[in-house]
Parts: sequence; structure tokens; C-alpha cells
Amino acid sequence: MEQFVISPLAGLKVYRTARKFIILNLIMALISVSIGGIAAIFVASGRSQIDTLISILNLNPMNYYAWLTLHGMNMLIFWILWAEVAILYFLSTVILNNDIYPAKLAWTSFFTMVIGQAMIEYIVGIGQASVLFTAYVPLAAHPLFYIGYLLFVAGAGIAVLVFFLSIYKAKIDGKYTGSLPLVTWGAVVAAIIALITVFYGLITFSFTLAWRIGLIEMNVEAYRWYYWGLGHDAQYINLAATIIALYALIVLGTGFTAANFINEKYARIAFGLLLIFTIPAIGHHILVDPGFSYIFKQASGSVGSHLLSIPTVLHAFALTGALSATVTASYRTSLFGWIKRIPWGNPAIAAAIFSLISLAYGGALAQPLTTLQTNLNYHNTLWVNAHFHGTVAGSTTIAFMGLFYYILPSLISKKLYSVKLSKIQLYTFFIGILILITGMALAGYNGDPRRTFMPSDLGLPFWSSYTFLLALGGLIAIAGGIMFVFNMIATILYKGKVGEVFEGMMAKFEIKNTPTKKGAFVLIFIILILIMVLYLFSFYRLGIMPTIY
Amino acid sequence: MVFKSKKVEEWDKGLTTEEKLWIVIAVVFALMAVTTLVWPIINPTHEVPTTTLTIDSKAFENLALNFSAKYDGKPVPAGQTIYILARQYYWSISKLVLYKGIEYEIMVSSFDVVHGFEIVGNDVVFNLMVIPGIVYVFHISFNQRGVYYLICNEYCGYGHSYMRALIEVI
Repeated sequence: MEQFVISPLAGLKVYRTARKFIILNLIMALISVSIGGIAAIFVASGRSQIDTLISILNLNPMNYYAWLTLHGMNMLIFWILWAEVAILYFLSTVILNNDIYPAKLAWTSFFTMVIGQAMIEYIVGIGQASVLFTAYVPLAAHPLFYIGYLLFVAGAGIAVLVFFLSIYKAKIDGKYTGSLPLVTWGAVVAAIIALITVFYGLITFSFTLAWRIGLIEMNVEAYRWYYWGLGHDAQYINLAATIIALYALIVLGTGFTAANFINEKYARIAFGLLLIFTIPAIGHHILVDPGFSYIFKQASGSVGSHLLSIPTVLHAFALTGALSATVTASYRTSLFGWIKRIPWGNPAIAAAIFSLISLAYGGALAQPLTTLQTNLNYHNTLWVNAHFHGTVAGSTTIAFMGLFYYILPSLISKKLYSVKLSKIQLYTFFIGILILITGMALAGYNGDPRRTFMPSDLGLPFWSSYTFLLALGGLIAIAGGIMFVFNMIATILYKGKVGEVFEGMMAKFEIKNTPTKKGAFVLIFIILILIMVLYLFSFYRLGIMPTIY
Repeated sequence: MVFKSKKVEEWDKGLTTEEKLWIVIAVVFALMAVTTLVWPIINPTHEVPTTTLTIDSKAFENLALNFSAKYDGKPVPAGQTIYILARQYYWSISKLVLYKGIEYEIMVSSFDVVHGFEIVGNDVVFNLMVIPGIVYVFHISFNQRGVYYLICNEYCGYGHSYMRALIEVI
């Protein structure tokens, strides 16, 4: 048997060993997102303020927080990290016509992560570790929870090493010459951020474990700082990985035409800036903590985090620019007329656009959160959840879903089980997420605290109409999530259909006219102005509140 | 092609005028967001509190209990420092009565785990973290009469959502 098969995607070589690992990681990602999705039903219902729903699901304070911990762990840690390892492996092997190296280390990583995850699922599942995804000390979980966290993070770290070693092997074997492909270059940035994340994670949880079994005292504020080195840097891996996925999706969805309109130098610079600006930007979690100085909070929280918008906005320009150039090269249109000509029915393009809109929405909500003073009004309210459900549940997850619709068929040379379902899925999920984050943002704006079980007997009536939206949007998004998992599993299991693998998944464009990016430019500029208006409004709002200092 | 490796000369082709403009815009917007550094000069009385004290939690508990014994449900006179202790799953005070327009000094700390101090109601939302071993000191002056809630906004255990008190401004 040949060591590799030829992929229907650009004739790339898919080595069987590499393929095995990518698919194993993908399956673990699907398992995690399914567990997280089941937990999401309970979490969304627990916040609905609809008592019938709460009693049907038998929710009470004892089990609600276990569901919430499961939801957070599976969605923010397990699902994204498994998916990212799959993507990193894909970009360091298949894209470089390369095998995975060394396979033994990849197995070590896989089993370490599986064991770590299993420990956490078990101990949270039996209600011994309802400390939520952040596990702030001195709230204590069963020691197995911290051991599981350590193992999972260490396993992810080993996977990152495999990624680098595979690239090194490809280089010395002459599998590629010159510079890495743009997507793999972006993955290097994601992988370096991942190493920093792993470093923080290992420090946090080895000290926490030592504290839990009584060996040392724990400084609560130090924990909060190191924890967010893991907790938020992990989300910057997402940001980098999402942007890689978006470049790939726009190129794939336009049948490779958009690649002509991406300036790789510009994109590579923006990826470099992303690496530089993510490192200091974890301080926005401690802005209203008593244990940090004003200057430290301003530097790391406000200034550091605002600078992170630079690379994000640069990529947003390049991505929408490439899309508009592709469309305008094919059709003559007005300034915004190209938007109508975008192939909205193409899964890659739909995923890319929905992901970008969610990113803009979540990013806009981040502005008042990451600013020292306005954080007073929004910290720990559902506004925070609206922010990261826009960026992670919306942007990253939609981009990954779209990308896996292409990665999986390219690996196993089979058509997607249903292209039509993939389109319906992306629309359903996106609409659900939009409703969800709108409900969360409105509730949070009015002070609804996050991470709080909220039966109506609590007598805090302000938020019920917004939390209804939250629950409605959440349940629609869950339906979209089920369609995604079903389509993936069905694609792996079914026999396959005859015909071209990516039939109906790559729109055709011809370069007939002079392409223009002007429409995209104006569009992004308007969005930036709107974000700035929202930001200034949040200062106005702070100013009319009672004095506090 | 974004999926193919290439020589440096093949991709290192310089930036277009449009792209340079994009970079300028992205930097300018980020710097505009950063200009809010001057906020303490514009409005020093709407600011994240910076004063903290390190105090033994037992000593602070006594201060908070004495304060509640004297002022729970009764108007707090001007000049009286307010002590509030958070613990699983209640605040040391059940009803704080304050005068409108009077500036109070509030000290808040936690007896056990991390809690959140949130004042909500009448279009007001303020959030601060409550950390064991550290006392957060801040000044507040309400500009509207009415009933506000004091709730915990950081998950602190099973009874978290039931941890609340009232603030009445008269």
C-alpha cells in the first residue's frame, strides 16, 4: 500500500499516518463540541427565566453549575484545542506534501489529551468540580480536575511540538522550498501563541494542584493573572487560527480566484503583528480587581488589548478586500453592488462572511470591556459572554465548521455527505448565535450577572425579555451544531458518491474587469466608525452614573 | 496561492497605496481607543478605585459585623465608613440605607472565596471584584433615590445566585 494518497484538493499528498491523526483529532473535537452542546441546552435553559423549562430539565443550583463547567470546558478548551491540533497537523503535513513527524510523539500527545479530558469530564460530570472553566482559587475542585487540566494542556503542548518538528522534517527532506505557504505561516503564529498558553497553563495548574493537596499557600490575584495567561491566550490561538481559516475559506469558496487578490506580504506582516500584540493582552480580566496597580491595569488591560485591534482590522481589510476584488473582477457593480453578487450559497463563503460579522460584533463588544473605566459597568455581566460568544462561538466556530467541510473531503477523497445541509447548518447556526449574543449583550448592559443560575423566584425581574432571546438563540445555535456534527460523522461513515469531490462547493469566477477593493474598504471603515461610536457612548454612560472612584 | 510554498521574491512585492492606507487607519483607530488614558483628567470621579488595604480577614469580619449591628436597615450618617464582608453565600449586611448626594467611603472584602460586588438598579451598573485578604476601598455617591440591588457577580459556589442585599437611597 502506498504511504500516501493524492488529495482532490490541489493534488496534495495525504500521508496515511498524518491523515489518521488529523481525523482522530477531528473526531475528538466533534465529541467535545457534542458534550458542550448538550450542556449548552441546560445552560441556556437555566438562564431563560422560563420556569417550565427549568423544571422540565430538572435544573437546580447543584447541577446547573456542573453543566456550566462542562459547557465552558468543552467549548472553550476541548473543542477548540482538538480542532486546532487537527488544523495545525493539516497545515504542517498535507499542505506541505509531508508526513507527520514523529508519529510516536503525536500518539503521546493524543493519549495525554484524551486522558486529561476524560478525567475532567468524569469529575465535573459527577459534580465534584463545579468550579467553572476558570476554577478561581480558593474555590476548590477535586484534585483530579487539576490533574486533568494539566494533562490536557501538556498534551496540547506536545502536539504543538509535533507541528514544529513536522515542518522541520519537511524542510530538511526538501518537501518545500522557500517560504512556508501563507496558511502555514499563520499557523506558526498560532503555534507560538499556543506555546505561551501552555507555559502559563502548566504553571497555573501545577501550583494549583500543589495548593489543593496542601503543599503551598496560594495567592489569589497571582492565580487570576496566570490563569488568564492560559484562558485568554488560548483565545488568541483561536483568533490566529480563525484568520488562517478565513484566508483558506475565501480562496476555496471562490475556486482559488481570490488567491490572486491576497497580498501575501501584507498578510504575513499582519500575522507577525498578531503575535506581538497578543502577548501582553491578558490584563483586561483584572481591571476591577483590588490587587493590581492602576498603571499595570492601564498598560496590560487597556492599552495592550486595544493594540490587538490593529492586526485584526488589517486582516479584516485584506479578507473582505480579496472577496470584493474577486467579485468585481467577474461582474461590473456599484460600490456595494458586489455584496449581492457574493456566492451566498457557497459554504466556504457563507462561513467566512458569518465568521467576520461575528468577529466584528464580538470585537465591538470587547471595546468597553477592555477599557479600564468602562469595565466598571460591564465586568462580569452577560456582556462578557456576548463578547466571547461573538468571537469564539461565532467567529472561530463558524470558521472551523466551514473549514472542516473542506478539510475532511480533501483527506478521505469523498464528497461531503450533504452540501445542502452544510449551507442550512451555517445559516441556522449563525442566526442562532446572532440572537444569542444580542440577548446576552442587552441583558449584560442592564447588569445581568454572568455565571448565575436564574430561576424566576430570585425576584430580579429586569432581564427576562433579554434572557428569553438568549435561550431562543442558544437553542437555534444548538440545532445548527447538531447538523454540523451529523454531517461530519455521516461523511466519515457513508460510502461516498460518484463525481467530483468539491462539486458545488467552489464558485467559479473569471477575471474580466479591473478588480476593486473600494467597496470593502468603505464597508470596513463604516464598521470601525460604528464601533468607535459605541465605545464613546460607553464613556458617556459611565459619566451619567453615580460618582465612584 | 496561499496553500503553496514559494520563494521570498515571489511574495515579497511591496504594499499598494491602498494597503498602506489600511495600516494607517488600523493604527489610528487603535490609538483613538487608547486616548481614553486621559479620562482621569476629564472625569476623576468616575474612575476605577485604586485604594486597597491588606487586612486580616478576622479583623475585617469584626468591623463588618459591628457596622451591620449598628446600621443594617438604618440610614448611614455622612462621614461613616461602610464595611461590607462577602462570604458564601451572603453579604454581611442585608439592607444598606444611604442618603442621596452624600459621598460614602465603602470598604469591601471577602471572608472565603472570590466574590463579585455588583450594584444594579435604576440604570446603574457597577462591578468590582472582592478578593479574600484584600480590602477594596472606594467612594460612591448616588444621584437618584430608589432601591438598588447588591448582588454577587462572580461565581462563588452553589448558593451564588441567592447572594444579594438591598441598597435603598433616600
